Amino acid sequence: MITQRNRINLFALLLAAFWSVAIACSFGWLYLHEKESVIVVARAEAIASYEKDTLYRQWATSRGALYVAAGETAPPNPYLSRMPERDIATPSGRQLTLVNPAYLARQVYEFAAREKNPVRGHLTSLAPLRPENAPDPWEAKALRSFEQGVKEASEVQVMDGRNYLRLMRPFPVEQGCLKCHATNDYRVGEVRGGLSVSVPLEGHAGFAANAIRGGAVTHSLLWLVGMGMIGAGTRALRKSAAVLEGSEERYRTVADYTADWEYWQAPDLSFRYVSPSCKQVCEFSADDFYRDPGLLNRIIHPEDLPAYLSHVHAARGGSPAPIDFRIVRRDGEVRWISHVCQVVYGSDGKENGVRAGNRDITDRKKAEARLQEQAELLENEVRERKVREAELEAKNAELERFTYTVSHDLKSPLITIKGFAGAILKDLDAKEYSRLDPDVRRIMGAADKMSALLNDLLELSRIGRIMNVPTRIDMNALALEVLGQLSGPITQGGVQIVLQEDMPRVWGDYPRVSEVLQNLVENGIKYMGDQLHPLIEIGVRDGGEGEVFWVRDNGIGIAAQYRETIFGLFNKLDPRSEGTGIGLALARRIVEFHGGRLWVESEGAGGGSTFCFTLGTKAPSESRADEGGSC
Amino acid sequence: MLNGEPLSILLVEDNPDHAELAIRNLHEGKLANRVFHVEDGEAALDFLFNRGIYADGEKYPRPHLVLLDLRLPKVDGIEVLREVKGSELLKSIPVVVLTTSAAERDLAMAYQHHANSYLTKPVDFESFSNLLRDLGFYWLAWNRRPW
Repeated sequence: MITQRNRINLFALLLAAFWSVAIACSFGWLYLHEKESVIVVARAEAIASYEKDTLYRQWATSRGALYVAAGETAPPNPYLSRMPERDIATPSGRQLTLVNPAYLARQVYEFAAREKNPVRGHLTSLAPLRPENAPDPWEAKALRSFEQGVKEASEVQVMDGRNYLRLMRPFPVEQGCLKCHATNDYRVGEVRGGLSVSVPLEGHAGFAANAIRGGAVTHSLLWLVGMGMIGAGTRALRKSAAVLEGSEERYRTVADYTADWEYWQAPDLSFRYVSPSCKQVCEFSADDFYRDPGLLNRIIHPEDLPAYLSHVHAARGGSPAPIDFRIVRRDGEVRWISHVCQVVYGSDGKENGVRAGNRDITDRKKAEARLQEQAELLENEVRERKVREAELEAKNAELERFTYTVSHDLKSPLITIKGFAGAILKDLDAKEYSRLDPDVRRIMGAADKMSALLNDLLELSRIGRIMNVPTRIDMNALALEVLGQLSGPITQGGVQIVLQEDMPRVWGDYPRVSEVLQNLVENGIKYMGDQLHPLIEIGVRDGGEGEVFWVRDNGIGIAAQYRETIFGLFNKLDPRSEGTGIGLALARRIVEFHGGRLWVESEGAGGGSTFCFTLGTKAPSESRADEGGSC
Repeated sequence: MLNGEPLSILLVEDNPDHAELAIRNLHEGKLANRVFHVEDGEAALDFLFNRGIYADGEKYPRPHLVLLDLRLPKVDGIEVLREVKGSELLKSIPVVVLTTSAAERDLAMAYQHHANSYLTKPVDFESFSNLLRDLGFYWLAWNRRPW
């Protein structure tokens, strides 16, 4: 801001020059005016003198003539010698002589000269009767100009080394003039001479010089005061300019040397300030924003614009929360911006737009994204591991149950076999043969039981290992097929079957789902008890987890406490009933491998049972069918 | 040591073959006058509480020893144990668990429910016979009962 100070200096200089010129002009005018007034006053004095002389003379002329005491100062006028009674005597003997107007005038002028009166008068003519009345050269020139019709002549002339204002007017011939000039062939009204008045300028010039001196002093003082004020004003201006410059420099340095893109947006959305650093952030210059305030909204990523606009709206409401958004730079690169702003207030307390800062946080965002990605990866891994752990835990628990069951149920026939074999040997020793037959049968029965158990175990283990590719199963067709296979026991038990029509198609392993239904129907037939009208219904209902297929019988029912026991491996409620007790365990295992559930609902003993199951299997494209074989 | 009082055993065993083996061995020891056999836990509790078909207290007296299998139909052995030991009337009857299972879990559960003894059925016939004989001697001959 050096220019600002230069401008102040230049302005001060101009002001001083103007002031000097103004003072000089004023003084010049005063000087000239004073000088001129000397002439004007002198002229006025001359005219006044002339007029008075004329008046006196006219008065004398109108009275004809005057008689004065004749003496040394007033000798009888020789040019009136022809006049009778030129010289008379008063009764007391005093000598009086006639004085005509011209002579009067001359007398007065000579008197004035003797009395040192500064104003001189002179009546003259180009052809004076008296030689002493001859004009001087200036008067002669004026008299000649009167002949040309000029009415007045005046000029400053040096006489006897002093300045005089000389004024001369023509003097027309009057009746009284002819008393002396009768011989000159004058006629009344003709201009034959002139009256000149000379006023000394010395006195007037002295006044003027005093006035000019006073004016000079006053003007000098005025000039000095003005220059002083200009100087003081300039100094004050320069000082405040320096303060402003310092302040301006401080704020500009703070504002301009920022890494972030700072700006101040007026209430009309125009930019009051944009930091130069915006060029680094968005590749547009501050001037681009000054010229085109709408540019800001245009470079914001279209997906983030609604969020930004609602942020701006909130900011106008006075509660702006920081916001992150993307911008598209001039070179097309997308960058992340962290934006903070606040409403600013003017000194009058009114809202004055918004002050905002935009920071490029692309690197941080990228790092965050990488972190997020890694966190997600880790989370997924942990989740998968947890799932695997849970699976493993379930498998371990299953294995434990299995081991326990096997150790118990397979050991049981062994005890029978060895026990009765020992008993037989003992009986043989004692030659006691009566119990041989039933004991051997017990041994054979136990061996058969063991064989059945082993078969069932094999079957159970197969369910986990071998799974067919899921197909779309028509449940009605499947049920009809199962019922066909069980036609023997059904007929034998006199069981009535009711099959719901139009059951939905579901995805599943067809042979396995057949096995489930077969086990459930068999179970129903087996535990009919002494029901006179055995009835088994098969159908489907809508449950919370999709279609729920159900097999309902009106047999012996199951008490609440056994509703889970019955699904245990080799568990039977009735020890004398047929089978190993694997049927329901098998069915549940199949359903679970389909991602479904199998459970029983019953009114209790005598109320019949309803076995329900769901199949969670999805279409092969969306399921993990390819993993089914290795489970 | 042997007095004239008739001694009775309640055998709770769902496997008929095992029951037959146990009964034969108990009879051979000639220790118990009577062996009552029930096949499930429900029947065992009915017997002990003289309920249902076992309501006749004269015919089905309180046994001096209960031989209890753990894996039983309907009400399982642990539940029977809980009910017996929870009953003021029955808790002093010695209950010996006699089961196929050698599982730690079953053993712990049985003792937690105040079983008086836990025996695993030996696979070997000789051992089985000896076990039941010794068992009878111990509980019915050597052991002093509170009543």
